Amino acid sequence: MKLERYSRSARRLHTAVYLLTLFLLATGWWLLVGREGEPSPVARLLGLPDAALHVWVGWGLAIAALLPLVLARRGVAAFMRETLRRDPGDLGWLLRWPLAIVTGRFARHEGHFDPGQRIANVAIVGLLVALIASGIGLVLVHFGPVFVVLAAVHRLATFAFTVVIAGHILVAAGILPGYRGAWRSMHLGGRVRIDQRLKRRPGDREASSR
Amino acid sequence: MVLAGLKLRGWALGAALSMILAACTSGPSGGGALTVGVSSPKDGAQVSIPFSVTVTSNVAIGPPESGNHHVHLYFDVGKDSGDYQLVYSNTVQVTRQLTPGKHTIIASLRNPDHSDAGPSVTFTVNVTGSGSESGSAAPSPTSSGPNY
Repeated sequence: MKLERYSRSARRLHTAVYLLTLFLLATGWWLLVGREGEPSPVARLLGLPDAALHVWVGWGLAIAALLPLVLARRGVAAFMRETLRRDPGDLGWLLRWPLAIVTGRFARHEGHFDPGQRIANVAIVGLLVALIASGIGLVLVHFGPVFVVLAAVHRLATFAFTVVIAGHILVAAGILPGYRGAWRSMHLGGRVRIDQRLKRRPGDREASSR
Repeated sequence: MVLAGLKLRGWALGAALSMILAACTSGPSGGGALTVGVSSPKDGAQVSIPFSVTVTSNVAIGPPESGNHHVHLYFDVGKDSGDYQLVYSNTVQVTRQLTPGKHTIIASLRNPDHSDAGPSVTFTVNVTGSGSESGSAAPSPTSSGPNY
């Protein structure tokens, strides 16, 4: 049996955000490691400085992140509710998690997201908000002491975000035995095969046979 | 009581925003327009790779982390190019392999976020090859920006 874990609009938003974010991470790290003034292959291709590309794509991410607040408030509310929920079995689930990523024998949990996903959601959304807010601030402020504070926030958030996203990709890519096939929940129709590793959760819909 | 509290909070928020904006918009110490210039090499000077460029400005020059402005040097390209040399102090060593002959260099004052701060100055150098620099007699480069 196959289940649809996320709606089509949620999958589209996820794809838009991660494509923009990966581009921003690439150009951001290019600038962070001191390659400013040396056009990256993308900058050479588009004929624009990397800093300018970073700013323009950053505006794109800000719009993509704000759109759901206008167009999908119920979805955002459901995401927040499921992310911020706490259940009695959460700690037990987290304690069994290191072994379960290898064996696939996860403890039972309540809600749409498992406790690990909830922590990842808080970290990813929190850091995205910090990056977008400080990024907009940097574009508007241009220079001075406030710029220094915003630049430090943006840089530190980039370091933390890179680590969190690397972990998220490791889990979502399905490299770990316990998460095999997890990447399908957001790609190729979003239909996940239900087996011992990926169990049915509240909010999952049975996928139509397409 | 609640209204008074809200008004007080509004006043405090306004004051804080004013202070932030004042801090953000602080420019040159004299309050005038931003300037940039190049004191060395002189316009049309013969140089050999590497050579030093000394920039002048009425604002402090420093890396973006300092919140100060800096300068981009563009070699034979426009200011919209992504290929430039960063200048985070008043003097910088140019080491890129410019071919022998005349080269046009634009020194552009930039905000810490690398956006254009406005003023720029264009000058030329005549690269003669590697060896010692010779900044021979020629007038100082003129600026395309205001107040030079």
